[in-house]
Amino acid sequence: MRQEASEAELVELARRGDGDAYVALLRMHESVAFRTAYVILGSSEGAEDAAQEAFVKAHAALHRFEAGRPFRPWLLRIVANEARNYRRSTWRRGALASRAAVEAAFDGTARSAEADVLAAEDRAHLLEAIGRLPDGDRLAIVGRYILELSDEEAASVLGVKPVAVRVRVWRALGKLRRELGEEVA
Amino acid sequence: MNDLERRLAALAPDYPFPATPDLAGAAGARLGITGRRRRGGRLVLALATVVAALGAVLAVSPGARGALADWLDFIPGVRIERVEELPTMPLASWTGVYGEEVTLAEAERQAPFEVLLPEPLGEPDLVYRYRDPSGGLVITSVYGDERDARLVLTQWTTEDVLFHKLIGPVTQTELVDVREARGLWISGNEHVVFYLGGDFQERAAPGALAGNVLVWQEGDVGYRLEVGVGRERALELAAELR
Repeated sequence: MRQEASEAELVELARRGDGDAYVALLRMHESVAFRTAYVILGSSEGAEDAAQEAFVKAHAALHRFEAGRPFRPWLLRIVANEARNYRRSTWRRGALASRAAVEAAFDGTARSAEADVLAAEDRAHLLEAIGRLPDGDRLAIVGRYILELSDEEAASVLGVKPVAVRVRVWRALGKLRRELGEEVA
Repeated sequence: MNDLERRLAALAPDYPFPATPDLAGAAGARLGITGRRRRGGRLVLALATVVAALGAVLAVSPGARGALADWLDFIPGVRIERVEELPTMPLASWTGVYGEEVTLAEAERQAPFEVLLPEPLGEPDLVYRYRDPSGGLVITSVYGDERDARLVLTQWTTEDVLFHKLIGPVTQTELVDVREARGLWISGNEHVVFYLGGDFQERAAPGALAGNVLVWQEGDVGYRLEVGVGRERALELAAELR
């Protein structure tokens, strides 16, 4: 609750033109914003460009932000839209980048001390299967289980109503199961 | 939570995300608000805000200026100086800087070069034409409007100094490859663009965007692309000029 109050205060200060408050607000959410853009674009450079552009646009749109609402879903919607715009204007494809991400995951640098909790082989298959999913399904899966977005945040990122998020995730899980089944077979 | 969901949740700590860059700081710098409080509202006046905040004294650093000039001479019409403090200058009106508003067809008819446009964006919202004192023609295409410009592309043929940029201490410059040519990427908010008007008076350009600029030359045509995105996307936009 304390953090929410602090965020609300920062939003209000930022809306009044306090630049430092806006930057502080961005710092609270820059990681999830960058990662969301990365899932959509699959490119670190693209995600950086898109998220930064979204942050600039969000600043210009602050007067339209509805006071009292959580800031993160609103910001993530702008980030996701900007990432999609970016993707439309470039040759980059999310699937390509996802493969790159999978490769990066197994270069020996991305493993944690808990690697033995989940067998490396299973992790590899799981990541590869996620990488083969259509963009929207990959975003649904990663948003829910990796980024741990709330329904409202996931809805903003996916561009659907909150009530539709669970259906989207459920369908994406089904596709992921099929991908994993094909892999096993 | 079923087995697949548990496996996904266990994957979360090791999901191969790249390290998050300093996006908040970069956005703050682009908005000209990092480290100081904004007095208010309009991004399009970021240039004026920066100039006003940094004071009136022009203090050219001869060493830096000479070093820059050595490797910037390859773009005629562009002169760049690095200064310790940015000077104040009255902002010119939009048309006072870019000339008179014309249609795209008129610009294409009169320009001695092919007027290039970023293909994905279609036709520009505004086009300006300006004939400089040496007879060179300048065509500026604007996407957006004076209050909310998203991309400004200027093309010109002249060897006179046309754009004179003063770069502040925090502005980054780097050589880049643009459309099989060499160019210069100028990023960071603290820079001011001066323009030599038809009456030989220098005017501060409006600086409608937060400030990233790509400058390059192809043949005897110079290009200046001002757009509020990062370097890679700016280079892609340049590559998509048709």
